[in-house]
Amino acid sequence: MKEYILNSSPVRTSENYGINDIKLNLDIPQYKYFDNFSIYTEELNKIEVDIIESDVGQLKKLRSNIGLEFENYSKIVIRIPENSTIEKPIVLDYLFDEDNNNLIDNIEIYLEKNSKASFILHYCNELENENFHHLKQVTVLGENAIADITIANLINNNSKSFIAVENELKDGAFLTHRLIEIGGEYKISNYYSKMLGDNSTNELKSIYLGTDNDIIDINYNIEVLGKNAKCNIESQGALTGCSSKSFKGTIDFKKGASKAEGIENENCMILSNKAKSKSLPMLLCHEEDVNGEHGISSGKLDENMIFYIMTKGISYDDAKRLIVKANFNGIIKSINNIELENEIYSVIEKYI
Amino acid sequence: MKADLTKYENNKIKNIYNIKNHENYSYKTIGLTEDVIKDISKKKNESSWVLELRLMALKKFYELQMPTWGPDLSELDMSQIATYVKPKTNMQRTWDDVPDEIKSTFDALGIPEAEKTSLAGVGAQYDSEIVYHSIKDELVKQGVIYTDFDEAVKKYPDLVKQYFMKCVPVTDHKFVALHYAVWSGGSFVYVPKGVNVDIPLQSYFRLNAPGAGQFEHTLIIVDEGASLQFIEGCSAPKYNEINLHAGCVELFVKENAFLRYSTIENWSKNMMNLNTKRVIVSENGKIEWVTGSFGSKISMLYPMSVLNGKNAKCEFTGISFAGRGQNLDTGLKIVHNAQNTSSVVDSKSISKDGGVCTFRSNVLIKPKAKHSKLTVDCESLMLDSESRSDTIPTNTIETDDVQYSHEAKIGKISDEAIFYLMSRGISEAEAKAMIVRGFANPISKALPLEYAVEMNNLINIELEGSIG
Repeated sequence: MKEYILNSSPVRTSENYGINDIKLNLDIPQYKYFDNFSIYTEELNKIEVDIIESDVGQLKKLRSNIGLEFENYSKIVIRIPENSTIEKPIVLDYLFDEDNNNLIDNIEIYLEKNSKASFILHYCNELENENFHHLKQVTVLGENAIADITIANLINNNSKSFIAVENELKDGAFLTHRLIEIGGEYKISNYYSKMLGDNSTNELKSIYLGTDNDIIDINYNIEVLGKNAKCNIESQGALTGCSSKSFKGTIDFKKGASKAEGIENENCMILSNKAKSKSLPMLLCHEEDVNGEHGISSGKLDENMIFYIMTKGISYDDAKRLIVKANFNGIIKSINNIELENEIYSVIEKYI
Repeated sequence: MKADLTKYENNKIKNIYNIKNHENYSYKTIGLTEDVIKDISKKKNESSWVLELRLMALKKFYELQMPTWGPDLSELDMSQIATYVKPKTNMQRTWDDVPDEIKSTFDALGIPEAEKTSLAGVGAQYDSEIVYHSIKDELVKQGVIYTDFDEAVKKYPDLVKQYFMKCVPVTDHKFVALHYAVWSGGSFVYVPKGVNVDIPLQSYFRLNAPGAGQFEHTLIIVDEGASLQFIEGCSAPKYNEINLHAGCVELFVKENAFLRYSTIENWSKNMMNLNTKRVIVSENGKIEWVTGSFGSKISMLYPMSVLNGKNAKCEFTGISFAGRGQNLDTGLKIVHNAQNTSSVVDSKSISKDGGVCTFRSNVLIKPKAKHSKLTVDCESLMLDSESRSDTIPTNTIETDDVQYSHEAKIGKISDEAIFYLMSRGISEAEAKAMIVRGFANPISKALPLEYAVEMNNLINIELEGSIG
């Protein structure tokens, strides 16, 4: 076991508030080849896929903004050529099991000029064994490229999950990211976007669910550099049991990002009097002509709403579940993949 | 013509704040050593318990780390700061007895005039000591104590010992430890049970000496069912060397009591303002903070409210205006530590000419604060792209039965609003000024009229250009 200080916020505040970083004692397992994964696409001829399984010395060290680094990992590079449109989502499916319980993966997605594609990165397991997962996902969007990426972390709660995303957007690029953070007793995520391009758009929609003694640490940072760029962070969460969550969300308007807009919203439903919620929603602004807003709301579920639902013959627990699912619904429905949506709902039902 | 007249009036006001008197002191210490502390204590003829606390605080100061966040404080060299500057006068009870040079400064700042028209008591501090103190007789008859803090330590030691350092502990941060080592001057107010002080008391802190620090201690106890409005003003002329303000305000609002604590701060732009303010509010008590931060080179100021009793309430209304060369890192802290407590925060900031405004807050809702409500609203206005405006709010919620919402907005003055006003024959500059004054209006409304006028004057000066 070693103590790590991870997921540092881009701007420091008082250490007394306990939100700048997260300290974790981790035993990072040795690298193991992970063979239980597949890539589905109906248009393989239109895309370029490279799968590189690292042996010592073949790849550079993998470093993520979370603060962890790895000598060995598996790397997948997907490139969508200029002017190509991939209609159906490209699905990367990872199933953890007894042999495949340690995954360190680096997925790089490149969409060249005027291309369009959607992706689902799906992580799950059927067993209750202990797993370790660290993903670094990189997205680079060329001019006017459009990408829709869903990362669904549905592994079991005996696991540790680390998800780091890094993006770069050029002029007119449009990136939608969904982070579904349900699995893992540790759910540590880091999202960094550099919106270099004018008229670029970055939408980040996330869901987190804390149960039992889960520790959730979220650190989103979108740097807006392009003129007329737009970004939107929407995060919906629920905490039960003795879970705790730290949410650090930053929109950073850099000088020159005139007419840019950025909105950040986090809603945390606290379903237990032992759960703890911390938030640090930051707006940093070095440009006059921008519009930035953030909103945070936290608290228990609306008793009137629960009562109303119960008058329709629904039990208290089911009413609670219904409200939580309704709050998550907007983000889950936007995935536009019935199979995955149903799987997410059933995992949520299992935990609440 | 109107614009010229406004400029003339603004220059007149600027000159008032920037009055520099000759450095004329009877005693001065420089730096921060055990000998300096003993010297200050001896000069003040203090009891041994006060000196012991000072020496303990000095030790803490050297143990505690500098903040690892916020503005850069590396320019501050405590060995060069005049930690105690005693003016050539004792505390007086009439303005006629105050030396002319000092009196004329306070005259220009309008303090004696305000005393006549709208205050129930005044304390005026010049450098390290209170030079004038008064309180209306009818308040004295009701048992209200309003005196300078040095006198309170000597005259009411038991009362002071009961509350001093109890609200803000010496270990809180490095500059509180510094304060407790070298404190001098400040005000002490005790409002007995059930007494309502309807007309405000005001303490004004003027720092004249270049390279000096001001470390006044304000201790206010509003006893059960009592009420008080207290106004604090501060200013200094501009010098080339760094001046330091590390005051400390400890407030106690007892059961069913009410306190409104208003501050208009206009330190000069060579000042590091590292002040600490805190209130402990008991059951059904209410604190209202009204605060305007205009001056200083660097400010780190986060008034803290600890809502310890059931149904305790806090309202915070504040504005910061950072111009050229200023870095104002301001905000608040609130701890909800009892059932049914509630807070409403309305904070605004304006940045101009490269000024940096940071709103930094910390809200903590403890497990026993069930049925608590908290609303935080902060809005920032950027007047150009040389400036910077950051919002850094932290909140920690440790109970499920709470309603918490936080909203923040950053933006510029709407082009449509300027266009609309200009279509009514108003110049662009005046249109912008009107919008900024409108932006600050919620804070103006919360201040007594004279202070709202002062705040508007400060906004006008800032809009025209930097002071000093």
